[in-house]
Amino acid sequence: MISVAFQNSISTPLDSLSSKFSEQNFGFQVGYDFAIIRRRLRLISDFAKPATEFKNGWGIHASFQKNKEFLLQFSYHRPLIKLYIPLFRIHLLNEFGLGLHYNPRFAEKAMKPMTPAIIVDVMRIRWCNSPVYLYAKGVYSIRNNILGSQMLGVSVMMGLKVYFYKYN
Amino acid sequence: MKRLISISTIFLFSASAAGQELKFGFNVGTHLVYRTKFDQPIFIPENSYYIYQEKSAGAGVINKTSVFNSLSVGGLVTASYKRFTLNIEPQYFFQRTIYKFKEPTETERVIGKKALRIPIYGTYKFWKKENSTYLIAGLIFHSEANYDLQNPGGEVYFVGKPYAQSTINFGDNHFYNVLYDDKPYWSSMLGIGKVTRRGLNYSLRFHRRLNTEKRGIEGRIWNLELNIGYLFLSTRDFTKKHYLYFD
Repeated sequence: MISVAFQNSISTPLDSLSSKFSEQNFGFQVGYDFAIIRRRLRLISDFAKPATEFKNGWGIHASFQKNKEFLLQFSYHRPLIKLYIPLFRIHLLNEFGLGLHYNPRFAEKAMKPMTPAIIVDVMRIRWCNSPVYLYAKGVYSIRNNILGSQMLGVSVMMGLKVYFYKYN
Repeated sequence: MKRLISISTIFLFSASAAGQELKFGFNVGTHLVYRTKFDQPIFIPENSYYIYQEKSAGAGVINKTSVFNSLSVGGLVTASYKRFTLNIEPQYFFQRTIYKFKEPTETERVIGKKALRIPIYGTYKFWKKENSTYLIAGLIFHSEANYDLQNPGGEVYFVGKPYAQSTINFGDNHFYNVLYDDKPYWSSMLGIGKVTRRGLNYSLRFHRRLNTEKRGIEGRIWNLELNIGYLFLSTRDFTKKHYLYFD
């Protein structure tokens, strides 16, 4: 599955704790997921309807943001929690990845701009069965020390992602 | 004692021990409950002018129950013989707890640790079947670096403001030799576990530090940990396999 996304990145240092949005940093993401598809027959009344379901996948994604921010991530993709409400499908805790994050904003507070990071795709909202997702993921630098008193390198990336795939 | 160890080692590697199986895997865990009690009405740290006082009479300076305040990730080696297994789990352990104090002035402290833990324990299966519930008993070796600082707060962590501007800093390491020290130590462990059909080892373990009085540590700490292990490699995978065929 090839994916393309338009996304916005908000990262530390924030302007202040009270302001909801810090500096906006728009960009795009491209990626490829090797997906493992499960096919099964759903028995609905008298006939069997074939259903194709996404089971899990391994992916590589690259994000290019304004302000020279860059994220390369390798991730395992498996939605852990699925919530179904009418017209929407909400998936929680979807992708778990490791990557390299380059963010010049970290350098403002004496952090190295290039850091290895843990990436977790926290939430996705899907409109019915369409391959279009609204998503939010967190990027947490492995160099962070929450037992210290230095700034943490954290980013939140939100956007709209479209998957391109075909059934054989 | 040396003779006993050498004889038992020879027995372990002898042909009579051929029924043994070594398995390798990994495990993750977290504290479900972490209980800390420091039963003194007043505590004056040696390296600060802040005087800790209990909130109400008899409550103690620290009387706190934390949940999910730690993470451990590590490997797992299991040697099994009949219903018994011997397990060694070298782990990286991380813990962070926030303690709030209201008297005489409000302050928050972050106390945590980064540690190498090596639980060494035996298990006994209640029934013969492979997925049986089992009992756990053993010891844990801790070698840790402790952190004890005033909580810097969100402005330092997310806005990057200097620490000194946000509040008065009362200093570090107030609870050294009260809740922790830097020397390696052992804990006792008791628990119960279950293997699921997919091969996941779920276990609940009760930990309590040993030799606290000998070391002069007055805080009483115990915790209940949830651990999930997964064994994915066995020595039987490399041995000659015998298949039985039925017509």
